[in-house]
Amino acid sequence: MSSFMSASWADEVKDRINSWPDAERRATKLDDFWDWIEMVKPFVVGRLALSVRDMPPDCEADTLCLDLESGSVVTATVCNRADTEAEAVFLMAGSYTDWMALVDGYDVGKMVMYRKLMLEKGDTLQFFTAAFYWTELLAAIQSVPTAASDGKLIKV
Amino acid sequence: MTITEERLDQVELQDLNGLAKTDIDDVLDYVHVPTAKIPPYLELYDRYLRQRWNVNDLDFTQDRIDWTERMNDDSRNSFLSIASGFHHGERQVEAELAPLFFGIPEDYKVFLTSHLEDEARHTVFFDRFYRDVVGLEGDGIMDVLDGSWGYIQETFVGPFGLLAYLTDDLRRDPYNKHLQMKYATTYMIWIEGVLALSVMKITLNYARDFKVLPAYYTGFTATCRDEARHVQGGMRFVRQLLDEDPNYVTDIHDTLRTLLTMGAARSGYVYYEPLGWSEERVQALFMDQLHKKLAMVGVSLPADLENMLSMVKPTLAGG
Ligand SMILES: [Fe+2]
Ligand SMILES: [Fe+2]
Repeated sequence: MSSFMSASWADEVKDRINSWPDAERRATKLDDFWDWIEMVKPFVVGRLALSVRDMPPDCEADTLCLDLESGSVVTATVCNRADTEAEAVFLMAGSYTDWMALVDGYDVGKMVMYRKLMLEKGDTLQFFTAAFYWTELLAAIQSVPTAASDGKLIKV
Repeated sequence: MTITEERLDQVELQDLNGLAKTDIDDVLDYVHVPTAKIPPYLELYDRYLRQRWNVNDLDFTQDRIDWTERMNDDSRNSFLSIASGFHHGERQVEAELAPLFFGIPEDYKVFLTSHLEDEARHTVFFDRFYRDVVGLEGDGIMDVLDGSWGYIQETFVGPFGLLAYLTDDLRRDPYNKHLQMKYATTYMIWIEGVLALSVMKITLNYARDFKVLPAYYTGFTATCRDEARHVQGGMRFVRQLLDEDPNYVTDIHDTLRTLLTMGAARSGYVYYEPLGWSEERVQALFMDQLHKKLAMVGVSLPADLENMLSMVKPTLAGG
């Protein structure tokens, strides 16, 4: 199992987003909902950076960079926020505690509504035009088995 | 005085007992006044002082009996899937209002203190309803909110997530009038003016027609009258910004474009039929409510937005 914010974790996240939703997730919502996601995907282009504000020391990276093309992840890497912020179209950041809660299954809608993740770079109206694409992207990340940065198991 | 004026005067003057007998449609009519007749902020504040009600005066005993004995699983479920959007919506509009205070006209600041107090009271009203009638338990407001989360539509996070993030933008840059306009469009035009007033009509019509949930009817009708003040204050503010610079209309249109794009999504069916409604009727209600709010500020919709509005799936929430 990959550790949170490691290169192998980024690879697994990429595969998961690109094959999302799995049959189980798809069945929980109307086809209308997935049709809507397909409708907005062509407009999802550029880099999304997902960052941890207070990553524990000695970790490989604090930010996941997803380069998106029509809603698919072309490359997924981990890096430090300072190295990617200028290039990112959108940058969302949260505390390490809140990221761990997300990986552990905390509701993705609440993650947004209660600002556990904040949009620290990017146009808010443009971001919300694809709102449910982003919450599903968080759900896809959440479904990847992940170990904490110290190797402790979080989610299987 | 015409019959209409007399009815609206009744809405204006009733206390909590009187509101129990007031028709919700009259309260909805009370919201909509032409631009020239939107009261000044301090007059709205004075109205607040006279119309303020005590949420703890409501007795939910009969509602609890109706809920358990007179309503069935279908109507309880439909009711919850609609009311829960309000339970969460009231909390959101209470918690997200503060950053607007910094950069608005002085008289609006005074009125906004009453608006904020109203939203806190509405949050407590729903907290009481979910505890005393639905039977949820919990330590504090958030515990009970977590209990009803499962009933809200996933698309709820569209408009209310947008409000949360615009609040954050405004917190960082409170004097930015483009941001103020985007915020007011999301909060006062869409969430209060369209979503809230539509959902109020649905659940209150149900309670009135089926003669159930009297304390809910009373408190929520009082809530609706409070919303009339919030919407009128908000429309005055929007109008004021437009008078300063008509180009701010672009911010209204851009914000509505995002809201209407999100509004085309739905994740699950809501069964309105047990409450005596259909999706088409709710959709028509949404369109009517948006047109009425825009008429209050003298703004029209470009053709593309008009077309998007006709495809909106109702989000059942409000604040
Ligand atoms: Fe309100
Ligand atoms: Fe409210």
